[in-house]
Amino acid sequence: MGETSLKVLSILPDHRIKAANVMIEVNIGEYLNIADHITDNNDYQRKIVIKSKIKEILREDFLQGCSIPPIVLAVKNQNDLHDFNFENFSDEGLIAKAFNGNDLLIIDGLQRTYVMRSLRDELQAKNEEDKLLYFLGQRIRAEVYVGLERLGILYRMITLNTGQNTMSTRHLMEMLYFDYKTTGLDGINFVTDKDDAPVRLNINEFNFKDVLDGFNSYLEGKENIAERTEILDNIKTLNNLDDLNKDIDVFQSFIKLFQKFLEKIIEKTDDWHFDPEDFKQTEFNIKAQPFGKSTLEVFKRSQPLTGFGAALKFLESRSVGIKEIEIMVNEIKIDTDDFQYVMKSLIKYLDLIRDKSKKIGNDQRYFFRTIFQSLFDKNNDCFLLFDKSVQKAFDETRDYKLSNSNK
Amino acid sequence: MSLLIPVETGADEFDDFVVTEFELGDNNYFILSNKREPTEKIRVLFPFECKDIAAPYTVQTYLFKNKHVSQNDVIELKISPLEKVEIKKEEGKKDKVKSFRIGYIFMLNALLEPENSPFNEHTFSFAYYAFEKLVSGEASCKPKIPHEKKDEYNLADFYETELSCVVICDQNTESVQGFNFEHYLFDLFLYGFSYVMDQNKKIRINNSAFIADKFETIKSTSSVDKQGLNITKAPFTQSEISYPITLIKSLISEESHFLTRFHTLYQVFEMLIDDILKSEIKLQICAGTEDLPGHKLKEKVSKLATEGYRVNLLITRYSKTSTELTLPLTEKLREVLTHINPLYQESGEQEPRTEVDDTENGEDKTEIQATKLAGLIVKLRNDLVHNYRSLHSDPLKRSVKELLVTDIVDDLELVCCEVLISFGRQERRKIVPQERTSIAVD
Repeated sequence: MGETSLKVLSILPDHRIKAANVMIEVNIGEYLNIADHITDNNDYQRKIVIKSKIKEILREDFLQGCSIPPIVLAVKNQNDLHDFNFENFSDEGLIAKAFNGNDLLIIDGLQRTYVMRSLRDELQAKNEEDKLLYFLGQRIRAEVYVGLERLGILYRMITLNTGQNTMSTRHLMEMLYFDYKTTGLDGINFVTDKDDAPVRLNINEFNFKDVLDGFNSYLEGKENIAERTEILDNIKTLNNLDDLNKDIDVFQSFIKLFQKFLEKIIEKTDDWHFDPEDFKQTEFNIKAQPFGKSTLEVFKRSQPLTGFGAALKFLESRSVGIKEIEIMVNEIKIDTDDFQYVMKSLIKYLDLIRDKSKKIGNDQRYFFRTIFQSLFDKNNDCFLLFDKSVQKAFDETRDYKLSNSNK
Repeated sequence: MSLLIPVETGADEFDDFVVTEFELGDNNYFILSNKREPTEKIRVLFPFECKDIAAPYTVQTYLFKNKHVSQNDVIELKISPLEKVEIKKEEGKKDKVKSFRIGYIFMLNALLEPENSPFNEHTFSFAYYAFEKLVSGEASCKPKIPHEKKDEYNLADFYETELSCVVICDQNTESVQGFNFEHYLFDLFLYGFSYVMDQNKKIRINNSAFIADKFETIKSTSSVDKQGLNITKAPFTQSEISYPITLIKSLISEESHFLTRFHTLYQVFEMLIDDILKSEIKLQICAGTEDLPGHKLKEKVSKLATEGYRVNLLITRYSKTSTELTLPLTEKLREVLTHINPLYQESGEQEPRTEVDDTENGEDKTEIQATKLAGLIVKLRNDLVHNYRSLHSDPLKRSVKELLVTDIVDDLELVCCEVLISFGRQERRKIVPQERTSIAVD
């Protein structure tokens, strides 16, 4: 371990997020050495490009040797925390080790860090040695969280009113459920935006965000995609941060059930594929591109996934659980003998919804939700009947969603 | 113009933010700067990939409420210049200019869901420019003020997304002399477009089946991938039309008692019959009366002085109304007038013919219809002004009468719009030699 300017000032336990908060003092120069590394490798915060007058003032203040509020950091690597107890944590060496190993995250203070970095770069570029030395030698305070798990980090970032301003819904969701991606479901692969790869068209690979939307619909019982503020509120109001981790088993059951449904519906519909000739008939005439060009493509999209999630929640309220539905999926049938005809009708109905709706995405989600609800509800006339469920879903979507806006 | 953002969440103080740049990246954003502190910026997400945008165009953006428009609709808006614009062909012949595109109509929702985008390569540019106008706070109504102070917003934070957006391209209208979009609002109203001046105000919607049918004609007369709407302007000068514009932009959408609504609408009739009086004096009195006996001239003057006669002229001669609208309206008027005065039916044969201005050998059906309608409107006006108490005379029938009048007022809104866009001054009207004088209603 090299010479360090780092000095631990105090350690306080944080009972809300079950972590230790270590107050330290460090030279700006030493802080910036690790900050360069952190800001280039931070999954949790998007680049921040917006300048503000405050930052300009701050820059001037730094040159005059002002003190600033503490930067908030967190130790990233949890491997060294065996037998960690936030209430009596006192391992000062761990903080120094995290500094040396660049094993930190910035939770609050990214703007200040950017200002310090740019000031250092500017002074270096101008060869203003004296000013640079003075600046890098200034002392700043930082709070370092130890034992903070991913969700805790997110929670602190949000309650400290940082980070969330530039985080998109997709980013938030992916962060919130990051562990779910890496849980390692047998034979299922999730693709995120970051992967920068297309989702392959099979029943083993899914867009992570679409699955999360579906799962969120299941948790909330609502087919519409959660707004960013709703996710933030959910995080803020989590009474027990462990709650989310407990859902992992449910998440696995959810996606496995959906995968099974996909497998069965592809089988039942004889792997239906779109044939433009079929849609030249007046009965199936569509105005836009088909919603999907195969059974798999239709049902793997976000709309059916969220509809599926919301329907599961509804069915749970009727005492129909995931395990029962797993059995029901095998028994899906139709009144007539032509599953392919039903798929063509389904495409036609989705096209009509697209044409008449004021909120296309939401209305298509409602349509799919009604299909799944009808299909798996024992008290429904359409129970296990795919054709009748599709028809009923369209009738209800037309009557409840389209009738107010269109004739 | 700008967007107002609270200085902090929940605060009553606001900062003005103006669009300063467009940021391209994983997501695209309009960047707005604080007018007071230009270094403070916010982003508004433009959720589309930025394809080619036709440039440089400038647009005007107007917001409307129309329950018939769907997210998937992109309606091409065209106008037919009222003045017959003529261009000379090479060989010297003249050719009438056909209607031409001035812009597009689409729902604001269409600007939020790129996966269900109704825009093609061409219309996408209009979507982009409309979006820019909206985030600049330069649309026809003020943006909402968000409650939260954030760095990143989306369009729904500032606008009700079920509103429809009319985007007019300045470059398309610059060749139209004295173009003023407000003159086209009356025709748009007939297709269900209620102008939105204030998003916080409730907009009363006219639920007439006539509007629904008319809107449906846009789809039924258009090709699958291209919907078009040809609109007509109201042929007035700006000063002449200032009241009707106030009416169509705000008064007509206000939730008011039917009496107030009737009164505000009837102002249009008052305004136009005043105009008709001047035209008719020129036509009937100033021209060719030298040989007319004094008593005949007096008769003419008396007739012209009556309101009923002039309303009749307005509906039968100076403008054109749709029978799909006027036939049911006539029936409703008869019904309510019978409710007000049970004896009305017995005298009904002569009542509607208050101010008949017959043509030589009798009137065609449309004209008879219009004549009846004019008489009934004036009769209702008189009853509402002079005999309003009769609506309350029978408590059991009161609500029926009120509902009927409300329904009639809805129809009258549409009649007013039709009259305004079809109004034509009759300097060249052929005077029928024997115009029958009848009893004035008013």
